[in-house]
Amino acid sequence: MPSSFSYLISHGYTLSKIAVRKAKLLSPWDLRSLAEMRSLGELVSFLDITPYREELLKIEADKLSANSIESALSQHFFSSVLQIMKVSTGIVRDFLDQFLTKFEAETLKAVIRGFLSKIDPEEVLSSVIPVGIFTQEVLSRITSATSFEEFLEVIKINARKYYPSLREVYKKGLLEASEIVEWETAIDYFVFPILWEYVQKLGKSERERVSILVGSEIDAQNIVTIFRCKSLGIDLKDIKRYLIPIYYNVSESLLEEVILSESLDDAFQFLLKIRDYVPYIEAFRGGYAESGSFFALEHNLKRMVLEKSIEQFKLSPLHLGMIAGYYNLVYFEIRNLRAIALGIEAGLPSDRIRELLILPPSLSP
Amino acid sequence: MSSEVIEGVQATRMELLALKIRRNLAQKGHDLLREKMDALIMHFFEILEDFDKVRKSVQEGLQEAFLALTEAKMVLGPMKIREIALSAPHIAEVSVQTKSIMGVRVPLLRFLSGEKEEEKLFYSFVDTSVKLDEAIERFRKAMDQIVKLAEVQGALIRLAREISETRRRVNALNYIMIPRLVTTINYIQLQLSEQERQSFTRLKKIKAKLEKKGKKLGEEEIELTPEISMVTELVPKKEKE
Repeated sequence: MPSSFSYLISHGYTLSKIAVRKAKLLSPWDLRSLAEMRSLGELVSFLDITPYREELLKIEADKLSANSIESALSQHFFSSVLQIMKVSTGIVRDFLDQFLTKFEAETLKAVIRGFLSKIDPEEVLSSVIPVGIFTQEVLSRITSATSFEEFLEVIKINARKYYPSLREVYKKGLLEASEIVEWETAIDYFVFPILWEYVQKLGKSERERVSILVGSEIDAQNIVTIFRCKSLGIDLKDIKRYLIPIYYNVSESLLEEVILSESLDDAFQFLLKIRDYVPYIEAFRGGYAESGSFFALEHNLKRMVLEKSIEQFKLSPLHLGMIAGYYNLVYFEIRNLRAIALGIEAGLPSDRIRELLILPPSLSP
Repeated sequence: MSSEVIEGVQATRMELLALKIRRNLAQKGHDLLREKMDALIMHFFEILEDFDKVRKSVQEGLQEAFLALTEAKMVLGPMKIREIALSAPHIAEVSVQTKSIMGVRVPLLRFLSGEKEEEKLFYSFVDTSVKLDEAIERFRKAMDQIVKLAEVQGALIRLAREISETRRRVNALNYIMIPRLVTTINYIQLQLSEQERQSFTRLKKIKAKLEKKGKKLGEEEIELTPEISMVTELVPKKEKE
């Protein structure tokens, strides 16, 4: 790791901007009380004094809905990343570039999904938000492709890094809408290893702290995927191909043991070997008998990533982990606000809305 | 109640016999149809009970499914859900067979979707949520119940139609056909007895005339023509009767 002084010289401006923005994030108490609001108008009035104001003001009064709020919040998220990228240099800029890849992948998946399902390009464009290399112009070019060859050609020219993975799926002739999962899995197989590889190339200290965030997120994803596959009745031998081939705290062999475990209890026993994740697995185990749903597991593991992101701010502030942590916090905040907006729109009781919010443990319902 | 005599009927013994056979047949048909109608009504009410249960479970199922969908939207965002929904495979595949209830063909429907593995998964696990799996599962179950409701409703409609048709036939037999046959039979019987009475009186008169004529001729022997012999044979017999 470079010395703190040189780090401060190189990234001081960016890090102080991040620190200021972190202070502007809504507190968990704010989010809890927002869930009590009974109309979207009230919610937007409250958000008027937050950084989301600018994007929310663009929504016309008669078009105020959970959808328009989600769109505004997402646009805020991406423009916030781009703003920081503009003022940052070197490692921070590179990291943010890599960080955006995850969201680029989501956009690419949406476009491919639309293409395979032969959905009207206008419709596809209205449901994706331009991010990273997928600018509005590139998205228009991709969606207006009339054949797979043309589609891949546009990807080759405008989003070259995704081309080899997509070409492989294309070669297999998986061109039906029902085969979208193969395309999406191929993109995930490409994106996460690239991000992980980047993190592993960082200096020791940076690597350790960013790995905690990226690694635990991937572990959480893999654990939940196994249980989802099992509950959907997917063949045990097929489950592994849906996992991200990155193993942080959960080794490949442990994942295999979880896959092959015959009962839920056995699976838990294997997972309880990972000391870091024990509280989250235990918390889920207690509630599973009552709910019969794996959502609590997914929710708890997401909460774990949130907590690890918060922890980044308790350590040295001159660190890439802080930036990664900050963007995770923004992501969760937007996710929570979206849940609140939809809950209010659907007229759900506040308790039910709060159950779906990802909050630190002390504030979780 | 219509009890007119059947038009154009001949008041003969042959006709009477045929009508009596028809009346018995109509009575049997009426009894059978009545039994059929009772059985159909019994089945109808059994299915009606099912219909109420299924309708209730469809309502509950759809409520749960829409709540799960709202929760999935809350977790993943409406844009993502819309995007996945637009590309969801066409899942409404239903097999249609029929079964017979008292001779009425009623539909037997089965929702086939969700049985093939490739239909189960049309999104990857990254960027999606357990809530989405649950919402889809609930909608599949609700669809299953909707198909069941369609089956029960179809059976009810067909049974109701058949009951109404059978009731019409029973009523036609009970209030039109059988009374008409009975009236016609009575009419023919009346006509026949009237004819018999007329011929008996006529024969009696002939006999009386013949006897009178015989007295006038004294001891003269009357030549017995075949008609006279028949009258003399018939009259004493009728008198006895």
